[in-house]
Amino acid sequence: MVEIRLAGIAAAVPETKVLMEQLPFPTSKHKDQFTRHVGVSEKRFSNNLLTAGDLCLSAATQLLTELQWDSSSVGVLVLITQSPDRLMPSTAINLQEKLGLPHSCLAFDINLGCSGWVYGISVVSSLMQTQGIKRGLVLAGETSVLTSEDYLGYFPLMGDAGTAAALELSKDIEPMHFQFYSDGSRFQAIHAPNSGARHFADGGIESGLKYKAQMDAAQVLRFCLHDVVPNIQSFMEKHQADTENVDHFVFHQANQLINESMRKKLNIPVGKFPYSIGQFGNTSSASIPLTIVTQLNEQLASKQTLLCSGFGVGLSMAHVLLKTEHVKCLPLIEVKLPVR
Amino acid sequence: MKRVVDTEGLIRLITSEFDDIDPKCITPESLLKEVIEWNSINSLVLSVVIESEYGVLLEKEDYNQIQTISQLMNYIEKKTD
Repeated sequence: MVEIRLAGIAAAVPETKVLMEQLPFPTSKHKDQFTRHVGVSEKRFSNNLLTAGDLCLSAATQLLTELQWDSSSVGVLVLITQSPDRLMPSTAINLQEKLGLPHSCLAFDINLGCSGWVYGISVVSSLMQTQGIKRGLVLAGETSVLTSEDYLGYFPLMGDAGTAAALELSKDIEPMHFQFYSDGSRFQAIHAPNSGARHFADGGIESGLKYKAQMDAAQVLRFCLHDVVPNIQSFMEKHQADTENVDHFVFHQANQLINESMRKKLNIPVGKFPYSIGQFGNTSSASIPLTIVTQLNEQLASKQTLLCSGFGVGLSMAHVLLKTEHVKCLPLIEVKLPVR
Repeated sequence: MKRVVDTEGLIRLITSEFDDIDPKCITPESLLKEVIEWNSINSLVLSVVIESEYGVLLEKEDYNQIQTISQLMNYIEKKTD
């Protein structure tokens, strides 16, 4: 079978930084504890002036230019987001037009969060292989429209970003390997309870106001340490991956305390476990590509083996073992907020 | 396997993570919420250190019943039983 190669990757963030000092923590000690343990010093915030689609558009436009790919050569576009421009139609279809992709292009959104980038890579790769599509784009982005500024457990953590990964058919690369996991019984661990039709079907009458996301940190911790860690161990055993032959373990940037605990359980050396949470917070499905762009830019010029793992809202997780070679990795793109 | 939790070890673990606590001021009967400033971050920190050391995750619904250091010790011992 013809395999899929990661040809290029780009990430765009709002130019505007939010420092933790600017947020209304009850005390400065509380803020220090947050930065020390959760790991976020600053994040990027679009303040509802840019959407995930806008940020992904910036990343994808520059990526196509740098790769010298004619937009008419892209046959599939998938956007992973939980903050689409509209509930209908799929934002990916708006982006088909904005990127000048052909009408023959498949374009649709996937509603996934922290695990989403790995799912996007898998779905687009499979479509390319079965449909004989030469080139595809996986966009992953989030803006914190679902996080309430009053909710201090969550708002300081979440950052805004949009990313683009370019895939192409290749005969000269080893296959990617994937592993997936879904558990709907624990959906309330991270959810936005009144954000969709279920609220009305259950007799809810308030609209629009109480749709923000909630997180149960204890359940998320249990999932990460007692479900994700063993799942990654079984994935590594299945594919003979270990801390020697994998160059970088790029994990979803959930929370530094949780990620460090996972790293120690998996015996991954510090130098193989990049973080971007300090400067960008948790950017949901964008966190893996954003970490690659900001932390592994130079390394991606040479041959690398990456193990990427996304885990969280769903509850859902996915891992990919990915061999890379001569990936065009763009410098971070900073987008000015429009003046309203 | 049941694990015996020694008081000094548990106190050392807590004070190593929360650097503003004086270990000499803590006894088995000290109230957790007086030892540690109780907020969402610190409860997560406590959960992570207990889990890494003893493999026991504190259940959310059990938080309120665990008031003292010795009750926390008993909880961990019971969970590893």
